[in-house]
Amino acid sequence: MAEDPVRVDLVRSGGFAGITVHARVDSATLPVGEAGELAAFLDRLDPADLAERATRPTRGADRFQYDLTIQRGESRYHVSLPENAVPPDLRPLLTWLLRHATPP
Amino acid sequence: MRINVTTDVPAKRCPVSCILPPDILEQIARHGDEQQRAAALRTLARDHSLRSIRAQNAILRAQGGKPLAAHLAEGGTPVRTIFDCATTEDPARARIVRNEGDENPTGDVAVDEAYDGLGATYAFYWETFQRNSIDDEGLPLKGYVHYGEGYDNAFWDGQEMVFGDGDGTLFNRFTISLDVIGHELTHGVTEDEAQLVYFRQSGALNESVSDVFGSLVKQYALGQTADTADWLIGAGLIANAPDQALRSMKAPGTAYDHPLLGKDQQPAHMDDYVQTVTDNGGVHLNSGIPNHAFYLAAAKIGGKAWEKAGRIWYETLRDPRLTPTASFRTFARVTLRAAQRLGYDAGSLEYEAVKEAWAEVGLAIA
Repeated sequence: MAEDPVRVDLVRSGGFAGITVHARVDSATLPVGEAGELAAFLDRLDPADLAERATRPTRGADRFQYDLTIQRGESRYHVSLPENAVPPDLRPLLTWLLRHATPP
Repeated sequence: MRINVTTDVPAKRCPVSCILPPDILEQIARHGDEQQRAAALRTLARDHSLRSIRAQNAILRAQGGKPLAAHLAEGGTPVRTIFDCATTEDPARARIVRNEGDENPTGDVAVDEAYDGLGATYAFYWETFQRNSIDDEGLPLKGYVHYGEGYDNAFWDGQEMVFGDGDGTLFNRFTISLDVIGHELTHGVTEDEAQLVYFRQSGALNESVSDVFGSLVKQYALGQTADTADWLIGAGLIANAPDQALRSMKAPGTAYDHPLLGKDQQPAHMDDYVQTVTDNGGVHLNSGIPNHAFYLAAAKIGGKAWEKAGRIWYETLRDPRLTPTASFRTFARVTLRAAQRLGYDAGSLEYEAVKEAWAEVGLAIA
């Protein structure tokens, strides 16, 4: 079965440095293995759980803010999470995306 | 005005978060559904009791008395504990590696810098403002180091200070600069006093207050005057760029220019205020404006910046008129009131320096 094309944008802002980094990955330009890995990651996301977490207040100060946008075929999904609300199973995706980060 | 808070709210969504300003909470308390009303009222009750204690303390201070909390502890000595997270992101699993009074350095640079930096910050607050730790009641200071793997950040999590090692390519360890440690501890002080909401202008003020006192901790430790201090935040933090820093209070927007990190974007004037949805509304960018006002005031007054300008900013932070959602303009007004309360009347060098400083960043106070 052919997968829908996937494009994921991650913006990490805030932190003590206040430097915003932007990462984008596109399934069209990824090696087949990594595109499959990305699709598998996205399949495991729980939008209802993320929507609840996005409403949690930022605790403390100087933490990161993550803005994640996923375009999969025709559907588009966006969530903005304070670092203290990021679920453990989303961390590997964020780390993986940030390896593709570009400077502002 | 009526705010319909139920629009687009999924059933599971927590109806009220602490980030909401009191006026919106009051709207929810009046017009929200049963569950929303209960949550809003709980938040308001807690907020009001804290604010009444602050108001009470302000009255006591005005009469020359000591604030209530200050009677609870003797003060003068910190109670520090340094924890090693050993690259996990779970402080609950961290191990204690240095306690208060362990005189011998451990040999772990991050551990020892955190211990010494928290000590220097405690000493600054105690010796200059007779403030006994974060809460003025001798709160033990907890520092967590080696947090995460190559983690490029330091933060205040609401209870403790956490420092990453940096990835080594972009950033060095976050304990490297004393003003970073002073900055994080000051977030605790602000949370205890003005409770500036970490969003937009009040959030940028929260950030600026941490930079102001973070820089003063360093200047105090080095015995510098306003004209000999570098006024940099995070000098030495950017890897392989010893001459760069993250922020400059003297010249916002000039602290770094780096092939991987880009260029410092901080404004120094209200004309360049940055509207953005990232970073809680640009709290680390727009802090450049009040940061520069503090630098200008301190430079105009001259001498050791913590003695007059620092004292005025500290009294401002503790003034009940500084509300949690204060704007830059409100903060500026309260600094002038604080200056008067400290005996610097209109026409004095100090009062006029503060007033001119705000005018120069685009916040003229009539």
